[in-house]
Amino acid sequence: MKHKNKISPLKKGICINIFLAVLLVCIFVAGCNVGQYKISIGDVIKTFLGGGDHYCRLALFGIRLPRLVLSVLVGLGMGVSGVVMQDLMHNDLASPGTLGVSAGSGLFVTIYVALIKQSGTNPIVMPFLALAGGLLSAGVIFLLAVKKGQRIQPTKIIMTGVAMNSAYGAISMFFMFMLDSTQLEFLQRWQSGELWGTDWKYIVVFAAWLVVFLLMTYYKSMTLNVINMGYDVARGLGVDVGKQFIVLSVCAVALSSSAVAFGGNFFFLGLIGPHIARRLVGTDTRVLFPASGIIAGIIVITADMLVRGTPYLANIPTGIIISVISVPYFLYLLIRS
Amino acid sequence: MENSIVTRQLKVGYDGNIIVPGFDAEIKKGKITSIIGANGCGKSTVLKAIGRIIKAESGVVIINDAEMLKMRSNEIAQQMAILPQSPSAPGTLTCRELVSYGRFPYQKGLGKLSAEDKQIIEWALCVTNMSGFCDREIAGLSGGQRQRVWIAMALAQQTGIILLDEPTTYLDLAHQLEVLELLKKLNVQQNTTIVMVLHDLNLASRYSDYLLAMKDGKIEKYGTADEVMTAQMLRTCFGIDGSIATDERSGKPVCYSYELSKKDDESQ
Repeated sequence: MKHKNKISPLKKGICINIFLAVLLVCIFVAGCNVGQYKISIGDVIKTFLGGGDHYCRLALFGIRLPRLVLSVLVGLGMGVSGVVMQDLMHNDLASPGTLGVSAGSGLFVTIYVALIKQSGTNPIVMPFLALAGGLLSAGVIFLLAVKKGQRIQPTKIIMTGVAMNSAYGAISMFFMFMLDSTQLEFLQRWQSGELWGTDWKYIVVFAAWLVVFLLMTYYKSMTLNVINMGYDVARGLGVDVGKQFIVLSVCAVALSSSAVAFGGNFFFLGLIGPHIARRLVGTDTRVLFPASGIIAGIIVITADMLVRGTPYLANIPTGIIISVISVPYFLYLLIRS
Repeated sequence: MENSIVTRQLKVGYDGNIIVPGFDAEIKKGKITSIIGANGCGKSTVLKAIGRIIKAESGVVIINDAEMLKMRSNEIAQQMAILPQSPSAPGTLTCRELVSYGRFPYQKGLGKLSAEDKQIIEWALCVTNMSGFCDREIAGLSGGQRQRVWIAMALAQQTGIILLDEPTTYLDLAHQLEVLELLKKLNVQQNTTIVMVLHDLNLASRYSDYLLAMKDGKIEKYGTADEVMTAQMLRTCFGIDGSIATDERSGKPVCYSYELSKKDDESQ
């Protein structure tokens, strides 16, 4: 019965992550050749290496690559953010979407875009606005659900978040009636999750922002692992739970907010990514973070390939596809648990 | 240094409700001390406040001659481990993973285990008789095994002091003894100071060097089992009339027959 040389869960997790990363690269390359203008895999590789004709370069570097890179970044942001929130709340239903944090970010971005669209948006402002909106909604949840001197009650936080989520929906509705038809369409598409920030200038800002917060979050992975064993156990092991809860919440909000700012509202990504990843690599965030981010990235790219590759889906926002695929999986998970 | 823990005027409560108004106690180093008392008397509350799981309203806790409030949290965790009542962790963790978190207070960054860490983890698994289960997921363990693996985690913390909140809850008689024997062994071999909250008076009497009986958030009686396990204490702390005898196995006092105090009945 006793396995002497059984590989440790951590090593197994690292192997699975390497496999997932390879899978991501494959799907990424496959994603390059899907679209209205067909480019063969050979041409894709040739163009990457500096060859290829003018049209290949244009389609690849101008249109497809930014979209694919954006997909991966959105996946990383939402996937990792979801893990942090679920572990902090000890609840698998916590995510930027369900807690209303995405909706808060989105509201700020929407108002900004609606007000300033004609004169052109500034990419540097976007993540900060989204962060402000996300932090504000997280702050409101915190104020309502956590009383000073009292212990943190995750269920209370989640319920408050769910309630606030509907409140933001109502406020968004209010703004929608004040918009003209182009702005309205943008807003609708954004809310359903459209990859819209496909300009390199947005992507550079997004990527830089993500790298900073991903590193910060990853640095806290052991702390989060310990918090995941219960607040009391974590305190006994020397974690200042109150302080770390806030630091990690800010990281999670920053990650999801930027994804919301540039990628739109991908409601289910922060739930499904961590769920699948947890089943593959377990609960150790040192391997769970990358796995969840990569899986969420794979989901976005795949959904986007469906949209771009299927003629009559071409006008549908990518997020809708993800929701349609996610809901049955999610119900299945709920029934199983 | 004679005392591991000293508290002065420790005032503790939940949400502004004061449960323990002022707790002054000195816990002897290298001894087993059990806190006993009726439900709601504040015994768990005091233990949690000493273990800084809940914040005291005021007062001082001194750990190994240093004031706890002035120490860094991981510094405290290197000197004192606390095992909450029925702790929970993700069921997919293996026993070895769980125990390895006991090394957290000593780690920096991404928690890579040193050779020394690994040695301590294997030792903790071995002492608690959990080596054979080290690759098992904790969800599949029995109640007794689960309690032992949590104790192993506390051991991996390598602290001179271990606090336990009702470590025998939900365990059958044999497993209760097993856990307490394990604690006794640690106390004798490693000179570990053990402070625990116990419901079972006879087990507390049998395994503890000192008993601390509480009533309404205050210390009613603190001393050896012979001094504390008296008919008088049973009446004031628990509201029962009990008969005390000496257990022939341990030589410690046991309460073998009891009923609700008559005086209490009349007053109702």
